[in-house]
Amino acid sequence: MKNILTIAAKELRSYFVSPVAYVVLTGFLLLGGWFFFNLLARFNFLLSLYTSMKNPEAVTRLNLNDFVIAPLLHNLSVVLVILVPVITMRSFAEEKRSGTYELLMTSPLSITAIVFGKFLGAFVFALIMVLLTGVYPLILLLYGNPEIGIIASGYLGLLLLATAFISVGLLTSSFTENQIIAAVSCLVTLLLLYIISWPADTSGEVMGAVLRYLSLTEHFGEMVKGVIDTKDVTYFLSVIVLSLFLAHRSVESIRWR
Amino acid sequence: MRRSNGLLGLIGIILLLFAGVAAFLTRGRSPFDLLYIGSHGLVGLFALIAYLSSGLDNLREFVGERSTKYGANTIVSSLLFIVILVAVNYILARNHHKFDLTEAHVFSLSPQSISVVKNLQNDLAIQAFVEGGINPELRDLLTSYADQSSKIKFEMIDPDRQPEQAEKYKVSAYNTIRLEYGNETTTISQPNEENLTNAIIKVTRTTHKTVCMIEGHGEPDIDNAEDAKGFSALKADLANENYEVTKTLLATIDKMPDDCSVVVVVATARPYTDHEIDAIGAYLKKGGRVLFMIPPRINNQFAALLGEWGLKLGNDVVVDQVVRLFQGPALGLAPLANTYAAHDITKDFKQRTIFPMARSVQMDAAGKKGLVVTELVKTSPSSWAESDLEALFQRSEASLDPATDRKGPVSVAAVVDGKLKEMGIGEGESRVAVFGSVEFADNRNIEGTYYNRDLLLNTIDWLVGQSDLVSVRTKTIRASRVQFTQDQGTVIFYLSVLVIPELLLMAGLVVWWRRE
Repeated sequence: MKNILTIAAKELRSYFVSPVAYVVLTGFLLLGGWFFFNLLARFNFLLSLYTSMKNPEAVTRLNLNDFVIAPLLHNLSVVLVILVPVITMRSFAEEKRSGTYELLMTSPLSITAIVFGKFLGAFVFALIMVLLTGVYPLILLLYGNPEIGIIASGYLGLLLLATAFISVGLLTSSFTENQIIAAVSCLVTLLLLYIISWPADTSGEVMGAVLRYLSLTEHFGEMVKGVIDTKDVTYFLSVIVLSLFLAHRSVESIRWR
Repeated sequence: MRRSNGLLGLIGIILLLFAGVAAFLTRGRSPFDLLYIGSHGLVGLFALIAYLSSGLDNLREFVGERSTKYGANTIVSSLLFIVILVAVNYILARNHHKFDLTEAHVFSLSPQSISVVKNLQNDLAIQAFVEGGINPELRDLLTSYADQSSKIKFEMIDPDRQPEQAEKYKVSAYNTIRLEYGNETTTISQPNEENLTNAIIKVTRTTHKTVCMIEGHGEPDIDNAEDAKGFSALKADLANENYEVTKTLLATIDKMPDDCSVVVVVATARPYTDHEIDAIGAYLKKGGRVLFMIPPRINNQFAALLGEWGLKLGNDVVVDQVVRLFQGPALGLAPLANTYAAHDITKDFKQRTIFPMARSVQMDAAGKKGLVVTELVKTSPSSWAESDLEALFQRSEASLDPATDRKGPVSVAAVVDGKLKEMGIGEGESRVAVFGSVEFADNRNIEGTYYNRDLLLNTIDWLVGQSDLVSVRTKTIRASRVQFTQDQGTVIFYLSVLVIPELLLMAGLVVWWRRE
């Protein structure tokens, strides 16, 4: 456990001593702030529009959860698809390229500790990213009255999503010593998981159900709506566990290749 | 092992992989699919065999290598791990639990719906006919039902892509939900939790309901599908809602049969005998349910009977000439209606209905106790009740004469809920519905553009009295607002858009500067 924490701390430190972490965080928060402020402006515009049109039915449908938080979280998830590969691409690939990988492999650390330590470091980084965006719902809670349960479930969804992304990123980084290849293959995998359910409604019943189940958006969407289903949590945990297991196997392969 | 040989093996594997993906995605439907899959499969297999047989030494050497053993071990253990994960996901997806964190439990069924669903004895099949086969909200709703009981199976059907299904179940409009439970079926056109749960209650109830159509006066034939003025479409729609429709020759029996759930009286030019009218009156006083359809220009034999129940028929024809611009006869004798009273029958009902050749049906319950009379359907403000029938039918002229005609909106249908105890004639309640038109229910109009079918079926359901149907409040996310002053808005803008990214950027710069 101590080894894992040591590696995690080293990993996290390596993010923050290089400009990458700051560029990623700045970009993420810049986009997030822009989304949030404009969604909030649109909400207020709709409210005044419906009120002036004397449309009481539409006014009762207006709520911060559906009109600000949900689109904000969906937009952030798309940004994560693009930014997470940038964070994780270096984790193994960089070490392979710079030659420190050999050192790591010949150290008394177990492979499980290496993989899990790197994962933990990246996870804390993702946690920081998600927590920093927490300022938006805090503003809403300060000045308004959104439903807090839906916000909590949506943020849990965003964190699970980011964690799943990170483990996929670690996996692709473990395959190669080229950071570009690591980032692009992670991006492609994540995008594929993101859009895989598109043909679900028009394909057969079983095929549709499988595609829908494989899709990140379907599971994430449920949590953004305010529903925590054990099925969705199982899915996210499976993606995380499977990616880490395969990354473990991939790292281990250097010992016999 | 020669390098070129290794390349041959790799190319073989890639070709086989793409052939597999193509086969999975296209399922080999067209000749081109077959050509692609076949050629890739064959060439790939050939390359692989060529590689493996290019020298048994190669193979022996390859198998014997330490890395091959470990590689195989890794592949097998990875596959095994994936299989276990798939199994775990499969089991947990089937036995899952949902926590609905919305305050109103928007994504959970109400306790009434759950108890109805839990009591299902047999399989309930639900088919949802929606545009493009896609409707996420409806899918969510149906999923919540299916989650509650393994007896519920639903499918989303695109009626345009599967016209044979739509044809088979006579579905003509999007958003039609069909429920099938044993031999019983029903359809609903406004899918929400309340309607779905009530539809489930309806199909699972086994008691049979009989609609008795009085005959013997030249009434529209319920078995004649050829005639546009026949009533066979109504019969089919009622059968679809589990009603049995029978013809009753009231003239030859002494009283209304006991097994009638609702009696339909269609007035025609041929008069009813006094015996028949008395039998209908006596039936009503014992808690009967009667639907009258009484068009204009019929000698109004029912005036006295309906008067007792708080209703008055106008000796007129409803004319709406605005309609003429778009369709309908030049005189405007087919008024459209989309104004409905607040009543169980017309709750959430917003569609247009057409009332060709209709007379006015008004409330006349002043001073009568125990009667709740509702003028159910009204025509547009541009319509009027024309009382100069001679001018209308002899000379084809219609004009609004404020002295004799009644300006619209004109009520063309009314319903009465009679509490017999308050009326002082017994126990229980009687229900009467009167429509001032016959054609509105005939084959042409009930399956036409307008929603006459829904209105009529709702009316009959109400007459029969679906007292055990449940009422489920539509649940939504609580409306929420945000309020801040201009200055606070500026603070929010700076904080969310500018300050946080700025601080992060600064921190990054400082770190970079120090390292440099």
